Amino acid sequence: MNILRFVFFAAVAGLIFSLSSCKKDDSSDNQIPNTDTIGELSFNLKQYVGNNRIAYNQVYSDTSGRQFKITNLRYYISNIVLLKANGQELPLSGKVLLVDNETEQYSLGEIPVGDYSGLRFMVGIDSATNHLDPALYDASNPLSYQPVSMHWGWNFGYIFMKVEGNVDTDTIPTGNLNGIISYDIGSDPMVRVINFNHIFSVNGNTNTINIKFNLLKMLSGIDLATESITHTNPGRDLAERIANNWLNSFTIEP
Amino acid sequence: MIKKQKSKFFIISIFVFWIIGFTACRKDDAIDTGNEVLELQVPLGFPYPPIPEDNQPTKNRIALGKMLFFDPILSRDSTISCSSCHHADKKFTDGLAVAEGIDGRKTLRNSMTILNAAYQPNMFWDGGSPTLETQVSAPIEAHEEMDFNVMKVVERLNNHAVYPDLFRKAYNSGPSAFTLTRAIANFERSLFTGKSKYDEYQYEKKSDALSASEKRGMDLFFGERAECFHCHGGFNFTDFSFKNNGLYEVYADSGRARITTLHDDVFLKLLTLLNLSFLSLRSLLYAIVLGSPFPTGYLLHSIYISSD
Repeated sequence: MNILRFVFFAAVAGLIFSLSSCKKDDSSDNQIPNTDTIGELSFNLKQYVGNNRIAYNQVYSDTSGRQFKITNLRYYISNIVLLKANGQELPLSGKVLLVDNETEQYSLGEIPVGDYSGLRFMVGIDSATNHLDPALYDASNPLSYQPVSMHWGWNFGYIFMKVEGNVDTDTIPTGNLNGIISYDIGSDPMVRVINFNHIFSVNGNTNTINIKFNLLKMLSGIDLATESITHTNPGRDLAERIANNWLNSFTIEP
Repeated sequence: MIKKQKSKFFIISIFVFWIIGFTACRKDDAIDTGNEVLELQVPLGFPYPPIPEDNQPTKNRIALGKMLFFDPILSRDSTISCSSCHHADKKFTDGLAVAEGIDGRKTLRNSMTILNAAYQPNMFWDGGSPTLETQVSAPIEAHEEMDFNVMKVVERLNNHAVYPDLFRKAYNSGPSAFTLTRAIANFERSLFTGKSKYDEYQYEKKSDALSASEKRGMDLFFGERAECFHCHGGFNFTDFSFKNNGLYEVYADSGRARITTLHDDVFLKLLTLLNLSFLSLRSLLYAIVLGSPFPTGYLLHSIYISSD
C-alpha cells in the first residue's frame, strides 16, 4: 500500500511540476509589449497603372496608347532598413515580403517608437539568400516554394518580380490582346535598392506607410509590342531596363 | 483481506504491462530496420559519395523516393513521371535526341543519366542547380516538362491514401516541399553504374575481362594520341567540367551561358562514359578523331588511327 501511495504522490508531484513549468512559459510569451517603446508598423502597398488601381483582366493603355491587361503581378521586397531621425539605421533583418496585387497590408512587426527620417528596401532577394533551398522554409514563409511559383529550378534562385498578362501587338489598337506579357525578373545582378526620404514617426499603436507601385513607370521606354517577354536569361538587356525602372516606380503616398 | 487482494492484483497487472511493453518493443526492433541509416552499395573502385546530413539514406526513404520517381502524380495532368525520361531499362535516360514533357512538349536537351548522380558537384547539363535535393523542383515546374508546381504536388500527396503514412514513416513528418525533395534525392543518390567490363578489368583485376581489341581501344583512350582521359578521366570518366565538342562554330544551345550569362560559356557538362551503349557511338568517334575545325572547340587535335 505504501508503494501505491508513493506512486500516487510522485504522479501528483510530477503533474504539478509540469503544469507550473507550462504556466511559466505561457506568461513569458504573453508579456504585454510596452507601448511606450514599441509600436506596430505596416506597409500598405497598392499596385497602379498610372492613377488606376490594377484589377486583373481590366484593359489599360500604356503611354503610347497600346492596350494591355494584367493577370498576375507579384514581387519580393527584402532588406528593409528604417532610418532614425538621429541618423541611426534600423535593419529589419530577415523580413521578406512577397507582394501580390490582391493584398495591401504587410506587417513589418514591432518597431521602436520614435521619429524616423526615411527608409529603403530591396526589390528582389540578396545573393546570400537567393540561392538557398526554398524547401528549408515552412510553407507559410514567403521564401518557401509558392503555389504560384516565384522560384526558378533551372537557374536556382528566386523570381524577384513576375508580371503576366496580354497585350495588343498591332500598331493600330484593335482591342484584340493577342500577345503575351511574361516578365520573370531575377538573378543576383537584378536586385535594386529603393531609397525614400520620408519623415514619419512610430507611436505605440499601429502605424502604416502607404507605398504606390506604378507599373507604367516600370514600362517606361519599353515597347510592349516587341518587348513583352523576358525570363531574364539569356539576353538580359530587357530585364535590366525593367529593373532599372523599378528605381522610379515606387512612391510614398500621404 | 480485500485490501491484500487488491494490491496483489495491482502488482500482477504491473508485471503484465511490463511484459507487454517489452515484447512490443522487441517486436518493433526486430521487424523495422527501415529507418536505420544505410551504407550505399558503391561499386568497387568508386569513392563513397558525399551525403547531406539532413538526408541520410534509409530503406524507408529510398523506397519512398523510388515510389515518387515512378509516379505520374508529379506532373500537372498526371501523365508523366521522372521515369518517363529516365528509364530504368535505358540506364536512366530515354534514348531520345531531346526529352519530351507533357503533351509531347520538346525540351531543350536530352535526358542525362542519373546513375552516379551522387558524385555530381552540380546538377543539369549547365550546372543550374546546386544539389540533388534542389534539382527536384526544376522538372516539376518546367513548362515543357511536368508543367506543375512543388506546392501543388505536396497538396496532392497530402490528400493521397498512402503517401502521408509513408512520408511520416521515412521522415517523421508528412508530405512537404522538404520531404518531397529529400525523398526523391535520397532514391537518386542510391543509383550507381553497374560493374562494366572495364571495371572488372581495372578494379577486380580480371585480365581477361577485356578483349584484345578493347584493350587497344583502352590504350588509345588513355594514351597521349587520343588523350580522351584528360577530360573523361577518373572512376566516373568525367571531370564534370563544361565543354563543347568543337564541331560547330555556332551552337543552338547556349549551354552554361544560360546560367552564367557569359557569352563564352557555350559549353555543357561532360558526360560519364560508363555503360555507354549508343548506336551512334561509332559515328561520334569518327567525328571526334577528325578534330575540330574551330579554335573555340575543346576537341582533340586530329589523330590518325591506322587500320592495324
